Order: sequence, then structure tokens, then C-alpha cells
Amino acid sequence: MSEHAGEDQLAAQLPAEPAQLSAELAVTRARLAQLVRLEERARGMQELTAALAAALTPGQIADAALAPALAVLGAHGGGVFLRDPPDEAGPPAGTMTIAGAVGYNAEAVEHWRRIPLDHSTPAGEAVLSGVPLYLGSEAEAAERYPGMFAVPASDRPLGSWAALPLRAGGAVVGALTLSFARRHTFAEDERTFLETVAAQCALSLERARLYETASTERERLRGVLARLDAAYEAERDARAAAEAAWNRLDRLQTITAGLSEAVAPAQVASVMVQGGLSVLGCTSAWIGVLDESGRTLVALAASFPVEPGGPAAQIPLSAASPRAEVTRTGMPVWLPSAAEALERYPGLRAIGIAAGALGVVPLVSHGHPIGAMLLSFDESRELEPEERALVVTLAEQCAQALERARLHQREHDVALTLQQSMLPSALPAVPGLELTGRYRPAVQTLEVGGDWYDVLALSDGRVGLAVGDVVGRGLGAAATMGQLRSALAALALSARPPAQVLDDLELFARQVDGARLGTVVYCLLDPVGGTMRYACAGHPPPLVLLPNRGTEYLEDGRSPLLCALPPELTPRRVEGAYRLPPGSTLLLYSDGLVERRGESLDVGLRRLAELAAHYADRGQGDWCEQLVDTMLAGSGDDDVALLRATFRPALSRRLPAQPQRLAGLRRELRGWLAGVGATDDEVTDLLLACGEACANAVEHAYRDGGAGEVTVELALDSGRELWLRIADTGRWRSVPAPGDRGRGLPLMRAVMDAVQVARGADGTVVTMRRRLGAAVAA
Amino acid sequence: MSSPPLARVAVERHGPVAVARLVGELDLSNAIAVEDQVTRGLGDVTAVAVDLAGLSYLDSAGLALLSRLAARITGPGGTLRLVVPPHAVVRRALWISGLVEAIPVDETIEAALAALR
Repeated sequence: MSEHAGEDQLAAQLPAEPAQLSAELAVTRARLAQLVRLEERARGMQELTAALAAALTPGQIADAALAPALAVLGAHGGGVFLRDPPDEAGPPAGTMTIAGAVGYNAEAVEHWRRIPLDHSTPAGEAVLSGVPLYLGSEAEAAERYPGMFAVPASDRPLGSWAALPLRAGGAVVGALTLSFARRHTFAEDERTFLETVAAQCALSLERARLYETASTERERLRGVLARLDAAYEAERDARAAAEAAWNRLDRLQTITAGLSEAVAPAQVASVMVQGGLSVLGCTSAWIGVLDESGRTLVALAASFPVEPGGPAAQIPLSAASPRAEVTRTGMPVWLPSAAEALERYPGLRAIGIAAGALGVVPLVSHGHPIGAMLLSFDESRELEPEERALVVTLAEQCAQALERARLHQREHDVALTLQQSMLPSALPAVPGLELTGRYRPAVQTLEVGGDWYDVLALSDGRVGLAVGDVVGRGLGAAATMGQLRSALAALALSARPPAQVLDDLELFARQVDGARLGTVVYCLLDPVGGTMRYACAGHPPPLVLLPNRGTEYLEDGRSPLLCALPPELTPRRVEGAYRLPPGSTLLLYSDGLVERRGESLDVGLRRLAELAAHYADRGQGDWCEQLVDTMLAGSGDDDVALLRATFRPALSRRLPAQPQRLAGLRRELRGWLAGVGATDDEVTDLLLACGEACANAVEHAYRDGGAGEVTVELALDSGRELWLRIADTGRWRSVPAPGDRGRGLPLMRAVMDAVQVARGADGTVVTMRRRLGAAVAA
Repeated sequence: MSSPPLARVAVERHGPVAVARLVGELDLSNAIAVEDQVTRGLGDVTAVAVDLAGLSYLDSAGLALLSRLAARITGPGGTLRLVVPPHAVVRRALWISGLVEAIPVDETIEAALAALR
């Protein structure tokens, strides 16, 4: 019995265990399954990130984004659609085009290749609404989007749908859709995963679009360059031939020398007119070219005053004038005397140059007359054949030089336009900062280069300031500059620290032709308190002009030029920290401003500090133009970019952290707020928020022995948003007790639009914003 | 040369009821002093109206003062009421702080006196 009893006891325990065990097992299994799922997601994200980094075209990006979504979530098909550019002929809501699809048959892909956005599809709705759409069952999908099942997308039945908007740069650029063969519930974590995939996909698409824009532009520019090269060569040949004829006329060398210096068409014509007078002994000379319409001759230079709009300034090609005639026929006209000239061309009287003999010759370039040159002599005579030959040779020379100048001008215009289109068209309005940017092409050669500047307003209120310099000149450098600038802007917008922005820019620069050995300075500045961090990749140091006329170069945060070293030898970039005092100016500039041939850089830096301090001291106007002019006087063979940020908090007060100081501060604030048109209610709210923040600082300073200070700074931006910053500068010796400094916080949060409290080792900074609703009284 | 006080306190008796009138600005610098003046002026009166119509600033130190005063007076046989006209400057701070949910508020002195009698 006793044995049985023992077994019974065991038996009594046993049945309970499997039930308990299986319950535990189920829990464990569920956890395990969850872990596996999470791990799959994580791996999926890693693979996605790697695949997206390698994808260049929208199609590759679509494939890269869809693969992990399918693998991880078990979808049987998916597509990526891109919103088309607006088309007036198309449907008003616009259309989208498929960039890539996985798991669908060719007929379905063709059917859905291009869809009007308002065509009642999940993808279209996701684009228009900007909100992800999850459809749990076919019934739901069929009811909401009856048109969807017109063409079966695959052999498998349709269960569920997901359609996610693709957002880039604040706009919806397309949609990512997934379909499932079975009903699918779209748990919270799956939605998060899908939305992350969509976000990554959208960023890559945007990057691809930027790449495409940049490379199309580069191709176009290469074409322009090739044509220019050909034109230069033709011109060189022509000049070689002309020069052979000129060898016997070495007295004309002054003209040739003059022409080689002349860059613009008007300069060429002017050299020619002077040459005609001095070399041929003419009494007057006139040179004109056809305008863009090809129907009017326009004066470029003359030895006599040309009245604007008068007959010497312009004549129609159809006019009965020797200048118009030679341009029409391409044949010279020789007139031995004024009498003969006036008889044939009565109109000449009007310009009053008929003295003696006249030689009027066409300016011919590549076989086509482009203008005319008129020379008059003081005596009436037939011109000798040698004289005629000389005049014709001069005209040829002039025509070639004009053509060269025109091409040069055009290239310069194209490059300058490109350069300027790649520089910010307007700098953002940043409260508390006066900003100016300047770009100046090289003065002597009119050549543009790869210098650039940029100002980025980040969402947390800070501002990114950058100046960079790309090696080389002309269109290629300008195109590279554009790429680096876009890349830096993209990297900076996430408010990364400057050293990290430059680390990442280095990775980008390795992929871009011509970015090697470029330099960049990047500063991340808090425009309310003036604190900033900065990093220089081989770039000259930022200059700070202090309110007391002192100057300071910021020489921390230095690292090598971009791509100067192989990746494995490239050190992590470092950054410096600085605080701009109110009223000071930060100057970022490219080396063209300070470098002169045969002079040490130190001399240039000293000159910049002296001159900039001088101009900054003279007033508030934009003195950048004058600074560049003065700095470049007598040199200027490099282009220059300059960015100026003057830190002017609208109101800035530093006071001892004592309770009896609060009332005076309020009085001052009340006056200032009334001055900017704040309403009574707004004044009450802002005084309360500021007062609470200051009272917290004061209380704290008191408890800790009292010697602290508190700084209050206000700024109002152009959107009438008021920025308020209150900072302790006390030496805190103790860690604040829990709940300390928090008493007024609910009040501050209630009356302000945004309140941020940052507690650091050397004090606490409270930053608050509030949009003022009232319009400024006119 | 000392500047005029930031806040003035006047306590009037209306029979068994006292009205404490606060005029000026109430902040961290004077909250304790004002509290002392009010407490001294009130003596052992237990029906009190605090008139805030003349206050042009009231911060959390002032709010804390009011809440301490209310806690001390309110109880068996004791009542404290606030007088806050509709356009009083300090109305917003009182409402945001939630103090008005703990202390009864009247728009006029007359209404407060009527309620306290």
C-alpha cells in the first residue's frame, strides 16, 4: 500500500505538470516567436539600408525597398509609385508612375503603369492624404476601391493591402504598396516597420532624383564644354593663319597684344578702334556688330561720342548705309572722298564723320558677316592696295577676337548662372542673426570656380553655416560644388554635430569626381544664445569680430582636406566650441579672399582681420561687398565666397541672480514687448513665462550660495515668432533635488508654444517660443 | 534711496469679515514679506476675501503664498475667497495653476462679502 500510496502521490502531481508546462511552453514559444520576428525585422532593416545605399535608379531603389518588406512580412507582391511632375493636360490631381514592382504579372504592371492620383486606388489615396492605409481584407479593399480588381495582379488570391506615402523634403513623392495573399492584421510593430521602410525608400528616391538632376546638368555642361573647345580650336587656327600675314607688319603688334588682354567684346572693339587710329593714321573709327535678332547693327566702340539711340549707336541692317551694306554683302566698300560717300550714302551726313576717304569692311567670322568696321581718313584719296589689305586683315583679326570674346562671355555667363543657381537664392530669416552671403568670380579672368556658401535653418531653431571650396575652375568645378553643397545640406538637416557632418561628407565626396581636396567649414549655431560648434576640413579658420573691435580666429576643430588621405588613414574629424557675444560677427570665407601670390597666408589673415573689423565697426549696413573689393584690390585671380553672420539678440540682459532684480527685468521686457506690438494678454503671458524661468534660476542660485548670474535673451523672427532664452551662469555645486526648478514649468508650458529645458554641468538653459498673433501697428 | 515697494497690502475689517487688498506685483522677491503683512493684518479673523484686482504680476511664488494662506484659514469655521474681476491681469496665472479649483473666486468684493457673511 505504501508503495502504491507513493505512486499515487506521484500520479497526483504528474497530471498537473503537463498542463502547467504547456502553458509555460506556450508563453516561451510566443516570446521566442516574437524575438525571432524582431530579429527578422532588424535584419530586414539592415539589409534594406545596405541595399538602398547601393541602389542608384528609382527602379533599383524600388526593388531594394520591396524585397525586405516581402521577405519579412510575407507579402506576395508590392510596388513603388513615383508622383509625376505637374502636367496641365493631365488630370488635375496629377498622376503617378510605377518605378518598380515585385511579384505581379506583366499585364498587371502594364495596366497600373501610370495612374491618375484621384482614380480611387490605395496608392493614390496614400499620396493625396499623406497617411498610410491598411486594408485588412479583400472585401474591404473591393468596397473602397472597386476599380482595383479590373486586372488580376497575380495568380494568387488577394487578401490584404497596405499603401504607404513616400515623404521626402516635406512633400509626398510617391507611394509604396504591398499586397498579401491572406488576411493580414498589420500589428503595430509591422506598421512601424513598414513606415520605416517607406521613409528609407523615400529618402533614397529623393537622393536618386538629386543625383539625376546633378548628372543631367553635368552631361549638358560637358556638351557645352566640348562645343567651346571646338570653337577655340577653330579660332586658334584662324589666328595662326592671320598671324602669318602679320609678320611683316610688326607695328601691329600693339593691337595683337591689346587684343589678347581684351576679354569682353566691347574691350576688343575698343582696342581695335584705338589701333585703327594709331596704326593706320585714321581720323575716326567705328565698330559695330549685329544684335541677337541679326537685324540691327549695334555700336561696340567708336572714336567719337555715340549718342544713345542715335544713328551712330544703331542702324537697321536694311538701311542704305555702307556699314549695313558690307554686313549684308560681306564685301568691303572703299570711298575715296566724302563727296562720293555722301552721294552714294546720304545718311552718312547724319553721323558727321565724312572728312576724307572711307574704308568700310565687314567683320566675318566662320564665313558669316557679324558686323562692320568703318575707318575714315583726313584726306580724300584712293587707298593703296597695301592699306586696303591691312584694313581687311585688321577686320579679320577683329572678327576672330570678337567671336572669341563672345564665346568666353557666354561660357562665363553659363557658368556664373550655374554657380548662382547652385548658391542659395535667398538666405533664411533667422531671428537674432543678420546674414549675408557673397560670391565673386575671379576678377581678372571672369572665371567662376567652385566656392560656395550655405545657410540652413534647422528644425530645432539652430542654424547651420557653411562655406566650401572645390578645386578647379569653370563649369566642372561649379557642378561639383553643387553636389557637395546639396550633400552637406542633407547631412546638416538632421542637426548632427559638425565633426560628424564632415565625416559623412567625406564619405560622399569619395563618390564625386572633382571633390577631392576640397575644403569646407561648417558651424552649428544657436542663434538665441550665440553658442556654436564648428569644424574645418582644411579650410581657413572662421573669423570673429567682437563688439569692441577685437578679432579672433577660431583655430580649433581642424582636420585635413576632403579625401586628402586614403580612408583607412583618415582621422575622425574634430570640432571646436565657441560662444558669440551679442553684437559680434562670424565671418566664414574661402581662401581666395586672403591668399595672394608671393605672400604668406598669415599676412592675408591679418589683413582680413583688420579690414573686417574696420568695416564692421562702421555700421550695420552690408559691408561684405566693400570688404571683398578692398581685400581683392590689386589681385583677384581666384573666386571668393563669403558668409557673414552678425549675432544680434533683440534684447540681451545679464543680471545677478537676485530676487529683487526680477521686477526691473519685467519692466524692461514690458516696454520691449509693447514696442514690438504684443497684445496685453501676450505681454502678461510672456512676462509670466520669463519671470518663472528667471525665478527658478534665482532660487537655485540662492540656495547654492548666491553668486550666480542669469542671462535673458529675446529675439523676434520675421514670422513674428518670439524666442526667449534664459540661462544660468552660476557655478552650481550640488545636483538639483528632484522636482527642483520645476515649480513654474507647468505655467511656462501653458503660456508658451514650446519650452525646452537643458541642464548641463555649468547651468541650466531654458528656451521658449511663442508666436505673436497681433499684426504690427503700421 | 530706496525704491517704492513692489506690492502694497491693505487689510480692512467689515464686521467679522476681513478684506486683504493686494496692489502691485507679487513675485519671489516679496512673497514672504507680503505673506507676513497679510497674516499680521488678519490677526485671528477666519472669514477672509483676498482682493487681487490691483495685482499686475503674480508668479508661482505668489500663487504658493495664496495657497498657504488658504490652507491656514480654510477649515472648520474658516473661509478664504479670492476676488478676481473678469479682466484682472493675474486671472490667467490663477486659472492655469488650478488654484481656482481649490479656492472659491468672486468677481467683486460685494459678492465675496455676501458669500462670507
